[in-house]
Amino acid sequence: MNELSLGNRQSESVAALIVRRFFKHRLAGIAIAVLAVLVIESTFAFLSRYDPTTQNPTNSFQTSNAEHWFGTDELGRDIFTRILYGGRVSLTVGLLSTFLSIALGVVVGALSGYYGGLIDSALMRITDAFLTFPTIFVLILLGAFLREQQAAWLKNSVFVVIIIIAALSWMWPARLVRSLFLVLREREFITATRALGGSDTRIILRHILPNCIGPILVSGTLQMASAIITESGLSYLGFGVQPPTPTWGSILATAQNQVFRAPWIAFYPGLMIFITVMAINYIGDGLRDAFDPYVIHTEK
Amino acid sequence: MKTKLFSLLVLLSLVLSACGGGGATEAPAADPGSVTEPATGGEGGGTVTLILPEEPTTLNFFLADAAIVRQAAEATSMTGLATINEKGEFVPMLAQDLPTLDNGGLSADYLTVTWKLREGLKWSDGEPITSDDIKFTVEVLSNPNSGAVAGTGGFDLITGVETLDDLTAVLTYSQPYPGYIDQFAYGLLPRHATGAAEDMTAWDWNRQPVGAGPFVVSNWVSGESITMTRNPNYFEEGKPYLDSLVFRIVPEPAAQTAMMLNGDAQFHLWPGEFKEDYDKLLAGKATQHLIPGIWNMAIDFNLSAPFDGDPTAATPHPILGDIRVRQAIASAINYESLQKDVLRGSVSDSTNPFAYGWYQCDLPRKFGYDVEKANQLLDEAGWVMGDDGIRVAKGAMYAPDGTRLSLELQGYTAFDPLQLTEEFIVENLKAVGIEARIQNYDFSIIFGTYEDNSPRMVGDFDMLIFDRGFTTEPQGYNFDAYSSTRIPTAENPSGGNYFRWVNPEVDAALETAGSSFDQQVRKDAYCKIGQAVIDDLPQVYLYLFQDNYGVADSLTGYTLSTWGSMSWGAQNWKYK
Repeated sequence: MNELSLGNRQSESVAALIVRRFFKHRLAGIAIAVLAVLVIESTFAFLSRYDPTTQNPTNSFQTSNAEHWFGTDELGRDIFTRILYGGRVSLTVGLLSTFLSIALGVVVGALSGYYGGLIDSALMRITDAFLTFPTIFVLILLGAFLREQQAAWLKNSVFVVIIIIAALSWMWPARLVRSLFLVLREREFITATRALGGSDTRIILRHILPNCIGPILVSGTLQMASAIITESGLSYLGFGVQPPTPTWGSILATAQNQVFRAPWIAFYPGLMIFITVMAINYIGDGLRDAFDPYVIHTEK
Repeated sequence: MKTKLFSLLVLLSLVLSACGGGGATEAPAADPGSVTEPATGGEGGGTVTLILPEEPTTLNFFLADAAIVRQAAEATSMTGLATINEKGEFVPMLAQDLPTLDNGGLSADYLTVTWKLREGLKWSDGEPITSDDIKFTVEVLSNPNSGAVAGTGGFDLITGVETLDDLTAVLTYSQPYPGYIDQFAYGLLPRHATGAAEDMTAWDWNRQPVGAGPFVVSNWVSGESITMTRNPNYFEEGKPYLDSLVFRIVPEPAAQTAMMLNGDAQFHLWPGEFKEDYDKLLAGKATQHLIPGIWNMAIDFNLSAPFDGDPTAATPHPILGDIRVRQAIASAINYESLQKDVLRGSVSDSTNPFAYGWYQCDLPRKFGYDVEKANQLLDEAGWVMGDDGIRVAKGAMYAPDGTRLSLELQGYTAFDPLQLTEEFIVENLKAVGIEARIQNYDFSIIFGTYEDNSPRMVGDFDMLIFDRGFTTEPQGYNFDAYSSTRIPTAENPSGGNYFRWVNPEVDAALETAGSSFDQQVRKDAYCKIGQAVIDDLPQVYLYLFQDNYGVADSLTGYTLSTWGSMSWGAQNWKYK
């Protein structure tokens, strides 16, 4: 029998602490499970008995039945299969464009916030410039520029979309990271590290940045949600993934013409986007609660 | 039991009697000169709201960069000396009569044309319409620096305009031009309300035209609506009957249909829903009418090598240069399924450019849907099936061994039928081992200029798919498209021979069609060109769109014409 039963809490690692606090937020736990299901079903989409592009025009506009769980679209393609494959693009675009956006934003924000002065001014003015660009015109310019390039890898539509979305959204993580750095660099532990001879790089990478992970992650989840929605809008302008590759957004866009006749074609991709965005937002909530040392949980 | 049966029969007969057919025209076609209506005019009055899916960039038809311009311009600035009726015949509008050989309006040597205006004509601002305005119109449209992109055919052949008196203009031509009436069917320009010819692109007139049409622009809210009110100086007594027209710009198809459903609009341009669904949804409120259209959907092949910095026809396309590959592509497409199943019968079959009008050529396809033939042709052409289902060159005519049979199919965005067509064709081609990658671009890129590096102008494409059409005078368009002198290059940036096709027989036929006044001779020449297209396959024709309009049942007096736009004849519309 231990006299001082301090319980398990004190011997927990930081990582375990964060994980436990995350799952206290029940919806966040459910959200992770939902997202995992989406990712798994997209990855294993090839198990479906239909191809996403096989057409059967005489069998179009079927409602849900035993043959086609989500019905068929205007060309007789199986909607369930297209939703599965569509998840690949939508989730990939969401993830990769967010990673890229955050990577860019962190670099700009860290340099800006840590060094201040001229570097800060220069980088922030560039950020401001990007913030003022009207999105549509940037898209048209970027699309035209990338189209002129001959390199095959640049012609790949998914890649183009990821770049475009990242290029239009790195500014927010940049500002966030900059503000975090402005605060953290004044802390005593940083002054101590400097006094001990730590180089700038070491301070940025090993001391300040790890403390920013929380807010960056939360911002990232919000951005991923926004990226998926942006991808939906891009294909309508002809920038997104080209037909016949399905994405949730492009299925939604072409479903517009059929909304009176076959509303289920719009319903399913809309539902998937809704579920994904909600899941990501709840995960963001959970992460915020898990990382923030000042949040006090009320006991349920 | 007997009463039940009887009442059932009564019900049945009631239901059967309620069924009736819909027609494409409401009320008899109005002959502009002969309708008699009370002089008070505006009988019925009211406002008709029309739905446009895009905003016109101008109301000057001669600067039209897209078909949408005409939809609105025809209500205000396109009333000219003549017009084309729904039968495709010319009828006089501002002119007293059409100049012909019989009445002496057209001289025996075909080189002099005399136009006589009606008496008492006024522009919408009250100024008189005179022969000087005819002269001005010729000056502007024959000026190569005016910026005009439409309706300029044959104006460079007019060597002189003499205004004998205020109502009479005598035009002298350097050579006989069969389209001498068509030239003046798209509107007259007023000298006093416009400006210099070179400044046409900057005229205020383009946004607020002073015209001879039934309506005058009173308000244009960019991105939202164009409002036109009745022209008090319109030349037909008592017309227009309506007080005003409002063109609403509504890009989303569902929102457009909702407006028709709510009675917020009465005229719906190109509804997205197929007729059977539309009529069911809008029963009692509006009906969708289908009439033969002029928009002909075809795939254009680039016969010359793309992406080589050379826009000419010098080097053949590595894959498409071999006619057997083009024949195979033509044989791989299931035309009937495309027209009936995918597009639900909203289109009719079309095999060559001359699919409608007086020059219609009923020519059968040489290469119809035949998958076996397609595979055979590709095997012969030296393309063997690869592991991934796509053929690879092995002994092909131009492509080095190992080249994949992969082609890019370019089209424009935001047009559902086009996207459906592309996706269908991609599947068809996949079945014979051809990989077609869809790459759609914005309208402004696909239909851009040579200076903009638009793919079709500089020759950087494999296959293009888009719909095109021309009206009752086909020479201008077809010469531009099929003459070997019209390949777009730096020296010739406005050429229309995108496929880089050189065919001396076609050049000769174009010459004949452009110089004869005998309609049969011209038609035979055009059909020769149509046959050459079918034989040589610079293009594969897929289908002809039917023009579809949704019209409220409360509207009458309208005539839907293949040759006119949605607002053609708006002076005759009224509410029931």
